Amino acid sequence: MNKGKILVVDDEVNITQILEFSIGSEGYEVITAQNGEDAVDKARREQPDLIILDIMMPKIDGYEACRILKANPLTKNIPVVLLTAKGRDIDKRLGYEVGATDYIIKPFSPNKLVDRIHQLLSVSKK
Amino acid sequence: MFQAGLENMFAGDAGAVTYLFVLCAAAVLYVVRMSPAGGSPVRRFLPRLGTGALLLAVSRFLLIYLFGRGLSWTSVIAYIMALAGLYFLFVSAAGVQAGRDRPVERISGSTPAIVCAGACFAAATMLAAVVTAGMVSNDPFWRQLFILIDISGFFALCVSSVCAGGSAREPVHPSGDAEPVRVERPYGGAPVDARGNDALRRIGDIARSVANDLPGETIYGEIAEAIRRDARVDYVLLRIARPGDDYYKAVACAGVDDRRDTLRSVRSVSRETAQALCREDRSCRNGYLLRWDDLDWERDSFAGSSIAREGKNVFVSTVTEGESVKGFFVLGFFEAAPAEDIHELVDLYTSLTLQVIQRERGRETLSDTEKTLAACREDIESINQLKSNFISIVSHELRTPLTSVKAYTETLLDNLESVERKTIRDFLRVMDEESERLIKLVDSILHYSCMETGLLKVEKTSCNINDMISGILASFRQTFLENRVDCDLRVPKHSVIIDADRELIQQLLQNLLGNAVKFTPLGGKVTVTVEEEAAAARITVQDTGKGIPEDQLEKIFERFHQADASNTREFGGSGLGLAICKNIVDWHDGQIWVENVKDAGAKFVVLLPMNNIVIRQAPSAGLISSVRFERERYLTLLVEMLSEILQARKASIMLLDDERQVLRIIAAKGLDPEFVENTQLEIGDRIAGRVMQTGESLHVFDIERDIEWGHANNSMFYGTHSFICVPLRAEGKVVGVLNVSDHVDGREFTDADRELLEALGSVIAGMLKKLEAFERLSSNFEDLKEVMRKILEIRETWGSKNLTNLTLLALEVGQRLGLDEKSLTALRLGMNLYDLGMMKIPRSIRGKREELTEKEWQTLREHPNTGYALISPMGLEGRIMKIIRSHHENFDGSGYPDGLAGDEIPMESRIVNVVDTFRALITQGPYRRCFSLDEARNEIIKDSGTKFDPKIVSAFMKALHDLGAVEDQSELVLTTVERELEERVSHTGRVRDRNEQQTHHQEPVKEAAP
Repeated sequence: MNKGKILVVDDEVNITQILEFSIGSEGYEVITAQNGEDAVDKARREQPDLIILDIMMPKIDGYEACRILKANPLTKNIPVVLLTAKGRDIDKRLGYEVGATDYIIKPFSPNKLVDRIHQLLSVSKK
Repeated sequence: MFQAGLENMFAGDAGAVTYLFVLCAAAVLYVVRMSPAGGSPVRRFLPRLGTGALLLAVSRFLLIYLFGRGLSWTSVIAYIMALAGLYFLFVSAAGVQAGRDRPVERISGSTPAIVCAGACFAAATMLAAVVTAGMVSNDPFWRQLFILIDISGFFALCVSSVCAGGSAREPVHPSGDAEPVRVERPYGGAPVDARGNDALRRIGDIARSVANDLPGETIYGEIAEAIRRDARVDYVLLRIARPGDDYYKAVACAGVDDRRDTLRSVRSVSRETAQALCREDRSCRNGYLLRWDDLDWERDSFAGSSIAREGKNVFVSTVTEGESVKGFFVLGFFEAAPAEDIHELVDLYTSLTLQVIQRERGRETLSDTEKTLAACREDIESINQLKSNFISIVSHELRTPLTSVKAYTETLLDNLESVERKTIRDFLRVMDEESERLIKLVDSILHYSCMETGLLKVEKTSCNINDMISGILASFRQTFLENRVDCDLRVPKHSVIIDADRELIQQLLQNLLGNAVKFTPLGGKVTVTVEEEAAAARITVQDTGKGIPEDQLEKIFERFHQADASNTREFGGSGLGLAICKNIVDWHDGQIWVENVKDAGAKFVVLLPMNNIVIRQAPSAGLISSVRFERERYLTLLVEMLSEILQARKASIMLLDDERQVLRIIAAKGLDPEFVENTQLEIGDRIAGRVMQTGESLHVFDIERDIEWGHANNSMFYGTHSFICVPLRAEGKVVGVLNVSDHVDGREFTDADRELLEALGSVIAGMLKKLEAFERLSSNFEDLKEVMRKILEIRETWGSKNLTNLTLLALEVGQRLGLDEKSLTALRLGMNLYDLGMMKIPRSIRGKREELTEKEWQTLREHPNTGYALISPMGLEGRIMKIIRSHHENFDGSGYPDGLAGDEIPMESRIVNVVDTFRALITQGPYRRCFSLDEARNEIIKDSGTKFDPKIVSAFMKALHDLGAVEDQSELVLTTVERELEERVSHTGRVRDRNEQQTHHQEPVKEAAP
């Protein structure tokens, strides 16, 4: 029952683990990356249906990674959800500017995140 | 009876009538001749004239009336009234003539001619009074005589008044070489000469400049030029002491070829020197007439220039405000005392100068206030920025663990039935770890805020740094293994013990190590080094990470600073770690900084003072506490400087208690406080007493083998094998002694050390004298403390050992060039102080890896000047000051700051320049590799004749050769020099084992290449 492939990017292993668990238990295939560089690379190769992206990461941060993804025709159409502790309005605006589809502030509820994923994927499938 | 008097006056005596006639005529003559027609002086002085005449007439009438009745007291009083009347008349007349408002002052104030004439007249009339009183009868002969005397007295008045008026109007020209051209005033008054007109115009110009708010320097320059023209002298130099300054610095000059150059190169004059020269016996009205030969400061400054004039005089005019002398003009040259009119003009200009000084002072206060305000505003802004940084960083840091806790809890709750037991345990473990992280974060924030608000209690106990570091490294073992990072620990064999708060130091070390591990990539290495220096323990933590961006070197110790906000994860932590470190170090009066090591990551250096300095309480209990505190800080720095320069573990300053004639320790390092408090030595008693008595230094290489002192009970130097005790001299008298013992390296003190200590003795005596003066004035010691702090800093940055070796090298060169003892002493001190100015240059510039910008170069080139200014409060000998100022002057004149060339540069400076260049070449520079010895040698030879004096280069090469630095083991030429030094030492005694780990750890010096 493969509902879709989701790339989870966060430098905190705890976060990728729990997301792998909770999204995975909903029937999605989950792949993970620890930093922005890795994320861009994996997105190109694996062509996931959705990317969940942290912002504060070493090397390439989330904003930059998102910008790169949106600039590449191969990954341009993959929806990106920014999942971050940066909660100010300005951070959020910047997130949408670089092409993010959604912006979720940490701490988050895994249930709600899964709901959001359902929603986004059903929209993009239509 | 009244009628009889009248008869006598008008009809009875023709002489009296004549007399009255002459009187009235003379009065009218005065009024008409001496005042501008219809001018106000007439109106002002006519009534006085009238009163005088009336008084005269009345008294004369009374006298004549009394004549017939014989002598009485009334007649004498009447005659005295007459005298007064005449004097008043005379005064008024002179006043009108001089055109002054206050005639009396004019008379008594100056013009000797008037005073003389007045005295003549008074004498004549007094004689008349005697004749009248004593001998007069009705005999017509006597009466005629009396009238004759009276008339001649009056004529004396007329003549003297006219003469006096003339001299007041017509000043005698000082040099008499040119007759002043007389021009009529436009309004037809008394004539003024052309020079007066010029002077007026110049004063007007200056007043306009003041009104136009031109900068002080410009106006001072105008005034100096005006004085030079008006007084017709060769040169004028104005020196001014800024508020709180002990030095008169040249601010303006006239009559020299290059003003700016002259201003930069002429010497500043200390208050003491100026006071000593301007003695009462040389005073000359409002100034002093001094011999050019006596002004050694001026003679030195102008040596070789066209101004030098042997055997002439200069006039020094002081600018005083109340009691204090704010500055002075030097006017050169005069054969004899300057004439009256020059005095007056100069007085006028000095009062103008005072006004400008006051204006400048006001302006400075204002700009200070403005600066303070701007700084306040900046502070507030940065605090605001910090606040928002704090909120964003801390909220982020708090959110991250909270996110995990929240996500895991929720997931666990939702899936409690379905998940396995093992997964539950895993989840709970993550939650536990993350809550722990949260707690730590909150703790560190609280801890930091405690330190910030000063609520933290520091409990100092003696801490063994070796043990503490080993303990912390053990607790980090796991982390090292996980990150596959090597750790290299270098500690001395003996324990390094400091007075500090154990917990705080532990935290400091933990933070630094944690930081280092975090930045070191896999397979890297962290090196921890502990070294003991004379005044401090030096702990360095070096990693092999990518280093710290140059512009961040100084900022990273600020609160919530993040090298790059998006890199928080990589930099880790709350941004508080280093700020906490800095706070801890500050609490211990230490220092912390970071350097980038080329290709090898960042190096954090912490200096923690040993804190074993004891200051004896000042006997004068009346000192207000803040002064006492200042005194303690000052003495602490003084002892610290002493022990640091000599590399001695123990050092003390003893002064003679004048009342009881005993030596007491006033400040000591490394000695027991009780011992310091209780020690009293009679003169001639033990070593210090002996030195005090003889005034000769005492140097014991090895007490155990010393015949004389070997068996003496020297409890003060207990446990010490080698020590030096030198006398402190003030004004030729021995006032105390300096003691050093226990070399840091455990070796014996050498002759070179003794010579250095002797040289320091005179400096310290001078500084103690200042301390005494300041205590009386209850002023602050900031300037002096600053110098000493920088002296300590230079040694910390360079490593005392390197400096000692370089000094040795410089002295070797100096000896080869045949410098005398005095010059060698100057060179010795100069080598220790010459780069002080560098310490004022921000680390971001002197430690910069990239090419410096033009502006940064400018700042860097300022450092000899900065050092010179910094050190001037120490009151060092002029020759040492010159070394410091000129150590970057090149032989061909291409150097800075003054662009001197050839022999203009003091020999010592030329030596320092070569040695300093050599030092810079063989140590690793911030943006270039270090040169091998051969390369360095070639580099110096290449510049011989251009940058360097060929004479010195050849002496330097020989010295280098002789000191044994011949192998191509370029890297540590200095160690070679050091080895040589140690060999020398071992000739005279034994060398204690040195810690091997320490010797090969050489300090790379961070400094721009010259």
